[in-house]
Amino acid sequence: MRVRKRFLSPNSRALLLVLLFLLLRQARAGAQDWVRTGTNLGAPRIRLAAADFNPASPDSQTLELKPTFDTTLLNDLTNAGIFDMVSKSLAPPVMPASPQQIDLAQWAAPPANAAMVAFGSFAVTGGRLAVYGWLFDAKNPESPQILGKQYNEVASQDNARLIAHRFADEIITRLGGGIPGIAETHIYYISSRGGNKEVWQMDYDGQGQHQVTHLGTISLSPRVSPDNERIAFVSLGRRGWSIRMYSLVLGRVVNFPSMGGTTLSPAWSGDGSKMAFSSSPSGDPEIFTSDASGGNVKQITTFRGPDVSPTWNPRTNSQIAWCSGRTGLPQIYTMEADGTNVQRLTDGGYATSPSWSPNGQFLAFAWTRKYGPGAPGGQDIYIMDIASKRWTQLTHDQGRQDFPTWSPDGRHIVFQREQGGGPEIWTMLADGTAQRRLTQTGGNSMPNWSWK
Amino acid sequence: MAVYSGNDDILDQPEGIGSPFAKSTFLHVLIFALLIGYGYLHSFFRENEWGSNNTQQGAIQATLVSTAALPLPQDHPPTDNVLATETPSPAPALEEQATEPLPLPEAVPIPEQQTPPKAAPKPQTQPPPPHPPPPKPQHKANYGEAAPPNAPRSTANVSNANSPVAVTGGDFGTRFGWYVDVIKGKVAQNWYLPEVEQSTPVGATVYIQFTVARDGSPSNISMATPSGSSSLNSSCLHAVQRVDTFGPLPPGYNQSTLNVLYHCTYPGTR
Repeated sequence: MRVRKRFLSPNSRALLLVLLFLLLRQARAGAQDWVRTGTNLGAPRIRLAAADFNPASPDSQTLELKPTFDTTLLNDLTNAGIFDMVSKSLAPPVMPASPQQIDLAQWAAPPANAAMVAFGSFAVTGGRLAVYGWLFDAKNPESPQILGKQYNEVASQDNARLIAHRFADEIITRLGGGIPGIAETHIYYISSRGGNKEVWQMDYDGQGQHQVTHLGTISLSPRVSPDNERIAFVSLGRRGWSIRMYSLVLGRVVNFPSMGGTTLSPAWSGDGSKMAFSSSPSGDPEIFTSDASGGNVKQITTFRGPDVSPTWNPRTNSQIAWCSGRTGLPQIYTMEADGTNVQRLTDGGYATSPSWSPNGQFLAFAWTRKYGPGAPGGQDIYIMDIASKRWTQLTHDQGRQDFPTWSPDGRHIVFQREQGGGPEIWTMLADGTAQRRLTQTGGNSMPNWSWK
Repeated sequence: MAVYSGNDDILDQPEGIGSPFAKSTFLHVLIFALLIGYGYLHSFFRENEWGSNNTQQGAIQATLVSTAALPLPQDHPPTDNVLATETPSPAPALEEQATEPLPLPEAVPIPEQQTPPKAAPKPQTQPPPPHPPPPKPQHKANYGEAAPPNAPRSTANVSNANSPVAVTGGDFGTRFGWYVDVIKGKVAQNWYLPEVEQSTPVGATVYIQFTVARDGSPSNISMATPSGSSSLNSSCLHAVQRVDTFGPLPPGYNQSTLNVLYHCTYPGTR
């Protein structure tokens, strides 16, 4: 009798069972959803309609504050640069107050052709402002809700604008792929409206301009810290130019140990822990780094020729771009934060005021490509991709441009323009379009965009 | 004391001024000519001048389309041609009509049967209206891709082409079409077309799969179906890797991750 050998030994059978079990587990673990999309399907701007909000209470302040809210919301969404806004004349003349009241087919049909609708109700009761806002997908009637938010603040014009900024930021963050909106950010700049050059502050859209420092002397180059608590700037004091620190929390200038000699152009690192500045204890300006409290000062450049205007890479916090005159005319260089690996970026002309973009990829700077008496062109804003050294000119033949600085979403640049008369502050999208003037009177210069 | 006669001392001899003067003039003119000529010739071999605008250091001008992406929307129009070639082959040739063989010279035609005359001819009926001409062949393959944005946003969910295990797609695309648009836009915006070799055929497509976590960050990025061009494959992988986050997953979606199958189609150079 032949003993039939088992096909598999017990050990192999156990192993096979384990493998089978794992395979089945793998199959059942695919409970996640799948989506499929691609590049050749078009990625145009989202067509967004911002409806006028419904006045939901009979209080007189409702009608007084609502236009501010509606206008601010529309402007914020337009300025974001990522939407194709439906103009109010094409939108249906309705003010839906809640999801039950909106007719999405009306908004999705021509002439509005909206893909998304932002609407809601706006009411002032007893001195408090309550806003309910929704963002609906007009092309998806089965499950249209993307956002539903409510806000409650003391009723005032400033708060009406603030709520509009917050709602616009929510919409921009959701539809813009996770990059936070800039509607609540501020721009710090120098204005000589009061006689002296002092540090002023305004909202990103030019509203709410007010003076911050009252030193009675010349102040320059304000740089706000990443946590929005302090502004570092330089001021002409008894001992010459030094870095001063203003606390926005305390509302006054606080002590800061500035180096001796002419110390200029402070720059914060992206995490707020370090500062870079230029100082000339020996007569030749060099770049120094220090802690945010002013201690642990290290010199990182030693070449002859002025080294000024440092700016940190806000993503890695370990690279600095600055402007150096070591070859004659000022050019833009980058280096590591300890001074090694110096790379030259511009190949000629007169280049100043570098500003590093928040995603670490680009530098914006002011450049006169052909420098010299009678040379064509002027000082314009350029952006350069650092890895490939490819540059693009953003402004053309509109006066002298200088001091560009990036917005925290990397989509906007604010800069100073002199077009006959004094310098004023302008803003534009980072591709050079949508240039708008933010300041009107006095000489306004050296803008700096807050980090959040 | 000897007295030298005036004629022997060379210093007393009268000097002619003409010849040395001529030589001196000649040498002076020669020196000046050499100096000027050197300066003139040297100007042809100009090196790095102080503050000049020569482009030896390599800063390159670019248009915004070709720089790596700013986080602003760039309009990539949809490509119509999804075939791998711009010149599709024509339809197969029509068959030749079978020709009748010529009758042999000595063949005699077979008389036909006399058919009885037909009854009254049938009443003339209106000829049927001519059919509309057939639509021109489109080069668009209709296999359930997400439609252009004007149509309702219900993305078809298809399982991974390579996986042997059937996975149900789920309804994420129908409920959260706007999030799929965000994914589509962000990867397309970070896709750097000059990375792809220009010899890649128009319409070549590579499929990349990745997982989106709850906070919106992509992970497990891998190639599902390669295209024939390795530069296209790596450029699409880089595009997804450049994205930090797509934004948090919508709160109405209760799974922990989302799987995405993304394709990059080369539209050709513009």
